[in-house]
Amino acid sequence: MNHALDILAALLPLLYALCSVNYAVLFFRGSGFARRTVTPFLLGTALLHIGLVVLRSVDLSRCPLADFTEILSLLALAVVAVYLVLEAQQKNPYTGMFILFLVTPLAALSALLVPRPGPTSELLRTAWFGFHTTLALLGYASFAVSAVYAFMFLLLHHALKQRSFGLIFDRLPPLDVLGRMTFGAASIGFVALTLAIVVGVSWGAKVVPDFWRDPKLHLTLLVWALYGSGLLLRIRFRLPNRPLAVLFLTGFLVAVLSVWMLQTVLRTFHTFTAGGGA
Amino acid sequence: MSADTQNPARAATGSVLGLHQVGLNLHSANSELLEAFAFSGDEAARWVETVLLRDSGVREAAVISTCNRTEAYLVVAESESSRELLPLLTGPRSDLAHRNSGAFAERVGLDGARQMFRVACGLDSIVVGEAQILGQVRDAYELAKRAGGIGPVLERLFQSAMHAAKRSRSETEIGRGSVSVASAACDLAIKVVGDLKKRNVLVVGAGETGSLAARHLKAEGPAAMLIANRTLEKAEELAREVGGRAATLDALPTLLREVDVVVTATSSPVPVFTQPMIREVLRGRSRSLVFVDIAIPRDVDPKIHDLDGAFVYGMEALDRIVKDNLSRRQREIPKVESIVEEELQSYARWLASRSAGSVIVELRERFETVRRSEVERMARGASAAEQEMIERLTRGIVNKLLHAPTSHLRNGGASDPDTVELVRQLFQLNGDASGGAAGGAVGGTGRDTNHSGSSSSTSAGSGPRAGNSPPGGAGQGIDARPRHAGGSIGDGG
Repeated sequence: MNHALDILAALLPLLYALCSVNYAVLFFRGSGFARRTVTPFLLGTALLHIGLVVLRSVDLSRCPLADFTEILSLLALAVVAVYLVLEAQQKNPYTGMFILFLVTPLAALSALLVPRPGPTSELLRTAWFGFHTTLALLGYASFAVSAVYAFMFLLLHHALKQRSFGLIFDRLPPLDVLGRMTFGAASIGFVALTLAIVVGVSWGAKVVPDFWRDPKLHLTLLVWALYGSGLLLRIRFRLPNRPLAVLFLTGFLVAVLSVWMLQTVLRTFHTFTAGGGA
Repeated sequence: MSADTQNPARAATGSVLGLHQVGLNLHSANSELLEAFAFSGDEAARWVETVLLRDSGVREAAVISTCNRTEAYLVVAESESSRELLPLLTGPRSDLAHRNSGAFAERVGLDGARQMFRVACGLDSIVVGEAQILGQVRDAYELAKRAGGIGPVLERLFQSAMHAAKRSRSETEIGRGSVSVASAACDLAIKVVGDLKKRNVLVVGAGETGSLAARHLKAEGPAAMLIANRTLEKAEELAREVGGRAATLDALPTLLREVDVVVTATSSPVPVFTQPMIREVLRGRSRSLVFVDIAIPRDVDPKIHDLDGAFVYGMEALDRIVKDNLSRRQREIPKVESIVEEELQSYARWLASRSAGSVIVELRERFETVRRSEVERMARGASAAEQEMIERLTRGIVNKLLHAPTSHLRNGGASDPDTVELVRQLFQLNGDASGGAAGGAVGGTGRDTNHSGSSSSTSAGSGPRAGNSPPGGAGQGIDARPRHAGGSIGDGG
């Protein structure tokens, strides 16, 4: 079964890349074939991805979250899941290209990076861990989607201010809709990350020594504070869409940077394999 | 077997197909002539009924009459295939038609079918890809159906044409983008603030341009509509018409806090909206505010566009959107033409399969008639057992004899016009079996005839009547009474 799972895992980035191309063709050419097939293709790829995650979990008898490659894979899947729900709600597939341009590198990195070998932590087999990581993943996936919509908002805003009525004007959803989606996705992410932090702190403090010194916790709190302040400014002071989009895009870049720092520079207790971190 | 077997579209093209399209449209006729031969909905239905009732050669009939065309689609019996059908349409106005014969065209077979496909897809409209025409084709179909004019051939033709139209709209960009200034203004507002049904709209100026804009915006169904004008009376008058609230220009700073879209068309010589005024309105506001300025000189200070959350568009921007969209639609025409040809092929295959069924049925009926008459003649005086034996014997012989030709026809032979014609000649089949009036697929290619100089010798089996007499009277012929081309009929007109 391992061999079959490896082949499937290697195929996934390719399938996501094909989906990206299909969405790009739809965006740039409005092709009939792409219009009919983008959603079924992406849905099929996501289902394959879910199948892979389930089979891998059964095969390993644990959550597939032990190392960075597994986390990237699940993050890609979570972003696609959030996007598919939004696409069905908005009935607009033209934003898919932007989401897939984020998802495909995540899936490719997950397949290309070599997983760190070694025994996995027993923590991975506990229900609390599953709950904590699911919430954290949902949070970061929502921040990723929010960042993509913030990017689209800024693109369309620029086009409208320049009175440029080309592809961006034609294909993207209305400006205020993009603003609402940016805010909505960030709100979901903030709630999920808040719960993940609460669960992690209340449970982690009991099982991990020196819990408060972990840089991952500090960086996560920084991201949480950035998004929290953005939401507060919007709700309390009616911060307009454009500065809010800039803030959320910055928040996501900080989140990506913090993950990179944790993997390369800093030492964290969020380590579930012999020599790696998550 | 001829090469046409490989191409059902060609194979099914021909006079025996029985489908004729005759009429005039914007490409060949001026507006006076189009108006003279336009049909209202009632007139179209009555025309279909009259043609079917009075002309035994016509099996099915429908007419599509809009601002820009009057085109009849007729299915006639094989024996009528070479008949000139223009007088059926022009009826009592055949003199006028004769004088303007160059404006009329007649298309036969798949050329006629292709014309309906192109019309339904908006390729034959003034504004290419306009959406209204599909509804008008559907209306024509419903009217003809109620009048009894739709049989299997036109049923399939209308359904295929409407399917092609839907495909062209979903698979290409032929119908995308606004192509009038008013709709471009709405699209721009929607692109910024989203669905207008959840937004409040302010129209400033209740003059002619402002009133037109208000009526257009009303069609978008905004959550609330506000009308502001220098004089309150005029504002109230327009507000009553569009179901809005009226105010004077003094109330603008307050009104602006309630609305998301402002369409302005006053005759003020100085800007009505200034940057300091709008900066104040935008303070503490998260939603965008869009100005569509259709006034000359401008009502909105262009500097407002520089403010975060405010967007200002004038006539120049609207005009650019319209031009861009029109040129994009032009670029989509080849894709739609491909869809038309695909659907036409499909229609042709269906016709070919119908004609196969028709020839086989006729062949079997012919053999059965011969068998029965011979059995009746030979079995006189025979015992019941002997009659039974003769019956079984002859039935078996006929079935065995017919097996090979039937199989050949079913396996594609019937889509070869030469084969079908040969079978008909050999066995003296008259082409009138239950396969339908449009059955058979023999010979020839479609033709597209301009009626320049052609004579109009017949008048649909009914006497022409004076053009100005009212339609629908007893003993009336085909009513092509002149009609004003406004109202609900007219593609984009």
